Amino acid sequence: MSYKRSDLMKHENRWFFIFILPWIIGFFSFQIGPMIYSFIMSLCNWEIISPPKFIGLENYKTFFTDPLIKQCFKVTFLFALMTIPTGIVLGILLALLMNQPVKGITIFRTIYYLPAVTSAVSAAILWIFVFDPQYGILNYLLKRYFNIQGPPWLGSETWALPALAIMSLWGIGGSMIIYLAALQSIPTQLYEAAEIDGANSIQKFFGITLPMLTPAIFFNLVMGIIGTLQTFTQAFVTTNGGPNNATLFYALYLYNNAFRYYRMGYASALAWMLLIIIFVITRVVFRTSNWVYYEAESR
Amino acid sequence: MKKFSFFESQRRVKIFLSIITYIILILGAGIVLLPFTWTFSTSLKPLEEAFKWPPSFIPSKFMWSNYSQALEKLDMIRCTGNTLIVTFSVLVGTLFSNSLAAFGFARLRSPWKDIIFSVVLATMMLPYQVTLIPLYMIYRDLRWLDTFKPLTVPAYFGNAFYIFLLRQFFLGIPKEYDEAALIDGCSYPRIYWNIILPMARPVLITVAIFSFMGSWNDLMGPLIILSSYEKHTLALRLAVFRQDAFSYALNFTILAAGSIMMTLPLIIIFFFAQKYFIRGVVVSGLKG
Amino acid sequence: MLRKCLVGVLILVLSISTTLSFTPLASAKIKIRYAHWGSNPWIEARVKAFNASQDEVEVVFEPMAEYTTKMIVQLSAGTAPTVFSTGIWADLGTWMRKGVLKDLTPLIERDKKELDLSDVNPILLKICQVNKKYYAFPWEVCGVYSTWYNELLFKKSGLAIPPDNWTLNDFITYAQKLTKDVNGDGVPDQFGVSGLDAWWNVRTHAIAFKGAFMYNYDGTKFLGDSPKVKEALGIIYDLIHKYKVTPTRSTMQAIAATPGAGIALERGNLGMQIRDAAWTYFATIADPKVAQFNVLPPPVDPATGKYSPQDIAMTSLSISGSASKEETEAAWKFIKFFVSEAGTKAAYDAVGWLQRPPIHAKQNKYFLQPKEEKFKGIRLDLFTKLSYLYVCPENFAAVNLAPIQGQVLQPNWDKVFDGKMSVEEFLKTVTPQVNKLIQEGLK
Repeated sequence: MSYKRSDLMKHENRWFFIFILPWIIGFFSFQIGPMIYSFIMSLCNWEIISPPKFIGLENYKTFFTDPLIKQCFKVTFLFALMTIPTGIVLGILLALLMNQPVKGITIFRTIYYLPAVTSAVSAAILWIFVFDPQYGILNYLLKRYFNIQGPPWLGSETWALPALAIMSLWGIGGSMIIYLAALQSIPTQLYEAAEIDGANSIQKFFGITLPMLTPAIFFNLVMGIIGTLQTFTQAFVTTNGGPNNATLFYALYLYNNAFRYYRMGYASALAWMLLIIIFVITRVVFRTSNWVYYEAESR
Repeated sequence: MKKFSFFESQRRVKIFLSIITYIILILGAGIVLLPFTWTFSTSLKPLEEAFKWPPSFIPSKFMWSNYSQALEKLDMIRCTGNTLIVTFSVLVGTLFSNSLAAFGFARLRSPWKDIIFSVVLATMMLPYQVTLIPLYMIYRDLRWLDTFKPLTVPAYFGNAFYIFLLRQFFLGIPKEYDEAALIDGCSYPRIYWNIILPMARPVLITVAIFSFMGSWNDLMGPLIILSSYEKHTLALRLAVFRQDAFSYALNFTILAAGSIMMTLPLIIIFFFAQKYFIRGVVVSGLKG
Repeated sequence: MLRKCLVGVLILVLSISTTLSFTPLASAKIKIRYAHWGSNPWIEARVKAFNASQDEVEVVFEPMAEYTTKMIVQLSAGTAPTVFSTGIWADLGTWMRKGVLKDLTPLIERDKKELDLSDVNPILLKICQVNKKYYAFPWEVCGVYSTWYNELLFKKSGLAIPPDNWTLNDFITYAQKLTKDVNGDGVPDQFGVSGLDAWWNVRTHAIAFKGAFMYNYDGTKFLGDSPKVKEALGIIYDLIHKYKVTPTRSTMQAIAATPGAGIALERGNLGMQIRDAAWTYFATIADPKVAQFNVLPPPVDPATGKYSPQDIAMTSLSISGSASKEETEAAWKFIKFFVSEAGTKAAYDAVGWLQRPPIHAKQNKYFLQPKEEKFKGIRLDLFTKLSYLYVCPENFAAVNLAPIQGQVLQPNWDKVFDGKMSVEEFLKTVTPQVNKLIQEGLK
């Protein structure tokens, strides 16, 4: 009996590797080399256009004494806290809205997906206009309809980060589509069966929709963590870390060290520290992911 | 009597709900569309008007010539061709390699699975700025620089983001289908092709959309890899004209027209791709 | 089923094969790549004219986005173009010191007669040297700052155009008179001066007002203790906080993003700005109903009664350190044409005007006589006449200034601009930090 089972397991194991073979080839061709190289560079002082010099763990020591690192973490984590939960809730709400059999819903879906399709540079330029304290639309609307004098947004140490958060939430269309796809994947028979059993809308939502959405929610949560902790482009194109480092994202500081200050060694150390941090957080999220419901029994 | 008014009120509630839905949708759409209407209006302005402050929304003259000038000056047709080559190639590769890998992670068991999946995810956790140069050197040694190969070939070998996404959705498909097929003597490839893929249509469309949009808008890849002017993709060509302050100012309205033209195909494709977003195959009970 | 597989394979093969590019046939000409930061009509005209003028070398122009990033990557991997634009603001200093640029000294020595550098400001040549060896060749004079102003605003405010020997005190008075609330909402929307939140502009104004260079001549020390620097920064502080002639940070935001957005000369809501010659391009896009440009010399220092020593920089061309002998000769041929009268004339003929003066004083006529209607009357000669003033230490900086500016000077100046730090505190804080970074960079 067990002889047969181990045969079956070997068989499945073999097929597993066959299916992930393209990824394995790609990993060993394009990924592992650069990753190892960057790790070695993190142990060096490398000014890019001159040969690297081995300095051991110096860069990592600097990491722990660099006063700007604290600021980077503050900015990056604050931003993550502002955008990940709101992003998930907003994404789901939007997807539910987009799932309505309302006429012309395809047009609305297209409109709401549009921001996710704009290049970061164009988007940044547009938002700078919107956020302009004197002539921008946002402060104009705040004054006109709510009689509030809007803050200087991107020019304010307190409001620059929330402004970037708003900018990032504008692109929620991307995760909206994932939730939409998930909603579309829920077999209608589940709802039919529930209706026969006399369930109302709320029960249907919390009993069927939400559980069936959890794989997508989990995906967006993990990708949200991995992605927002590496936020770079928005700050790079709009505030460039200012004012007074109020938007100095970790990845922006990394970029500056790499390509502006010619300190690629230190930047590599920063990168690896970030990887470790993200990896640990992700691991914790995976470990505590019992709330995710997968239809398939085996994981 | 009672029965009649019950259906009446049900219908009234339905209409009320759909009106509320419309209102929310339209308000939200207004907010979302604001930056686009701005670029569109800029693309139709004559150059002097584009820099007016406070800005005006409606152009005084409708300069449709900005669009023809963009086509000519930015050589948009050739750039679009280049972008299409890269995008389609990546699309095929992405759908192919990632669905295979995701199938492995979602449907097959292996003692190595969890470790390898952690590695897959870990590849997304290292910022690209520090792997840029060593990767560039790999391409240099392969003599792939200034070709489309570095932009397209890696797509045929999987991408952590899509593997993770597809894996989540594949795990949502009941295992009973696989088991029934296995009992019938189906091989794993056939399960992959005949059962999982058709049932995962919404997420595959999603991956297709993301992949298409991603390569279409990708700037960093073409920027670092391509040199020859004729090989520029749309994103790169527009960026090059924005780089120099004088060129940017001089071509401001033309660049706005170029951006609109660059985004338009994406809108159209997304609009029509939604047809395939219909609910997944519903199978009541297991068939042999 | 089989047919579907075949179709799938066909699609796969087609999509892979369409990405394979074919190699061009080898030609008798030497082809060299020339990279520049973005598209540029003057440069493109010169490239075209060069290619048309001879048969041995073909220059392929490569406009780049994210220039320094891409160049660094290429220089590190040895795949850099043969010839490329370099400049103070494109990390020239760092590249020169790290040995990735070709030593041009033997070529310059050999072709001294042909180059005829007698009418070239020697400072420009000095910037291109490290340890008496040339690593770049200049072709354009930049960083020569003068005061651009909007004539229309002066007229509207009933102000006479200042004479050439106007003083710093006049500057401050004019700035105050030009700052007003035009639309009556209680908030000023027209300003005398702008841009003083960015450290680079602060530095420019400090030099223009008092000749207050921030570094010593060879760039090894930050002059935070110098009374001149303190005085100049104090004046700028007063402009921002005492006289309030600049927009506060809350109104400044849009300027960086789009050319001429927000408070700017060509918008008709800014009175004066100290900038270099290339600002002429805003004259091409301004609405003449709101802005009419002209130039004044920098204000005279009331303490000395004379113009202060000023700044100067240049844009140059360099040859890749890994270029072969053949490529180097070809690139050098191109560089010589580029700076020659033939090259300048080609640029002038193609565009109708020049952004900045060429290095050869003999060729100034192309800069001083623009064909463009909108430039008639602008005193472009101020950018060439005052060349005896131009000194420029910051460009001799011995270390990469980017971390100094990005990590120390700018964040702290942000605090000064917002009124949270005084000039004394600022100088006390930054001077030791900057000097420390310089020492580290010199190691």
